[in-house]
Amino acid sequence: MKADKNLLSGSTTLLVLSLLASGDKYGYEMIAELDARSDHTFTLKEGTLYPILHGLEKDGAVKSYTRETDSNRTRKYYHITRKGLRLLEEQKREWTEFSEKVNAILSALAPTEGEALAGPASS
Amino acid sequence: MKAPTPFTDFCNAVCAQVRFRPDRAAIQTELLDHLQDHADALKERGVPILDAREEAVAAMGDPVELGKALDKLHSPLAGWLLAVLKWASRLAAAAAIYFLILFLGRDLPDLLDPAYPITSRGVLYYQRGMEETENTVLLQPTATAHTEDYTLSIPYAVLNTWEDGQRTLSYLLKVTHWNPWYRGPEVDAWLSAQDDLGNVYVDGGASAESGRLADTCRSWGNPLTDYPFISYYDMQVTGLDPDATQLTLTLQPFGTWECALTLSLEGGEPS
Repeated sequence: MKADKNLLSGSTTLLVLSLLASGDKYGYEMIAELDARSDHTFTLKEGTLYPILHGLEKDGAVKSYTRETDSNRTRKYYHITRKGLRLLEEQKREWTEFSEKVNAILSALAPTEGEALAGPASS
Repeated sequence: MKAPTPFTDFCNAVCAQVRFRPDRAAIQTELLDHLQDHADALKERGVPILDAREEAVAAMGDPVELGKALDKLHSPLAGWLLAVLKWASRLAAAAAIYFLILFLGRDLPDLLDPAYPITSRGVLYYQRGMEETENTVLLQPTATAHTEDYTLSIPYAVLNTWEDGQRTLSYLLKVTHWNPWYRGPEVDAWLSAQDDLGNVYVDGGASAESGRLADTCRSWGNPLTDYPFISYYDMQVTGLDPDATQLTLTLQPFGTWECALTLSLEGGEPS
């Protein structure tokens, strides 16, 4: 299942912050972990990751540093800052409130099974 | 290591949208690393190398769209402003440290002052004076004199009295200065000495009212080592009047400002 683009776009920052909250990561590592955590449900366009990361870094929510790997390559890692952790909590709260409201509306609007089968009342 | 063409083509297309050139190299490196990591992961799953590279590039999406998104975050104005501010703050910090040392570091010279100034002149006048005559007194002058730029003091002074009654004062003159540019003032040329009887001693030996021979009554010396905040001079006053009890050293460069240091010729400890 490919998640709806509109549903994803607002929550990608939340997902990126959440991935970093569990430890420093480099770009592709985040894509791979998101894929694994969502049981291959979410396939994010990988290019969208870097504008998000650079934007978060500009706002001070994450910091980057380079580290040498075993194969003598250097990788750029991202680290969530305290500001980023606060932003994560805020976005989690907003997401929870939003999804609760959507669920409440759906529950209020959803017909019972009997009404749905019967159709409009007939004389 | 030369990156495969599909990767560099992709990165070049992205970076072409980023107007702030200094950031392009870092963006290129990060994207190349990502593409390489993805291609490596696909190869591990058995995907042929060329297909793996194509798939890695395709997964990144439209390079122009990505480039434009990155360009918004790497604004040239902000970038250059930040670079200028960074250099300006480094310069300001260096200037602050420099002036802090200059203005507050007036006491630092004492920390930087070695026990004896390093000199290649060998034995100094006062050192030689310690052993030259039987009647030798080590004076311990505590007086200091100040000008806007200099502070004068005498760490060591030796008074020799010869058998014929003539006296010689040999001393180490220490001049401290807050400004390193002022190191090594021409003290030996600017200095004159006068005792409490009115006798004047200069380099060249001007005669005194006492009628002493001019060339024996002299105040003279040589510069020794100078440090950023301290300059030393090896000085002597010869033909001192036997009845003089005080000597005033006057520093007057080109007849401008004046600085006077007075030391007593009495007391002290026999050497």
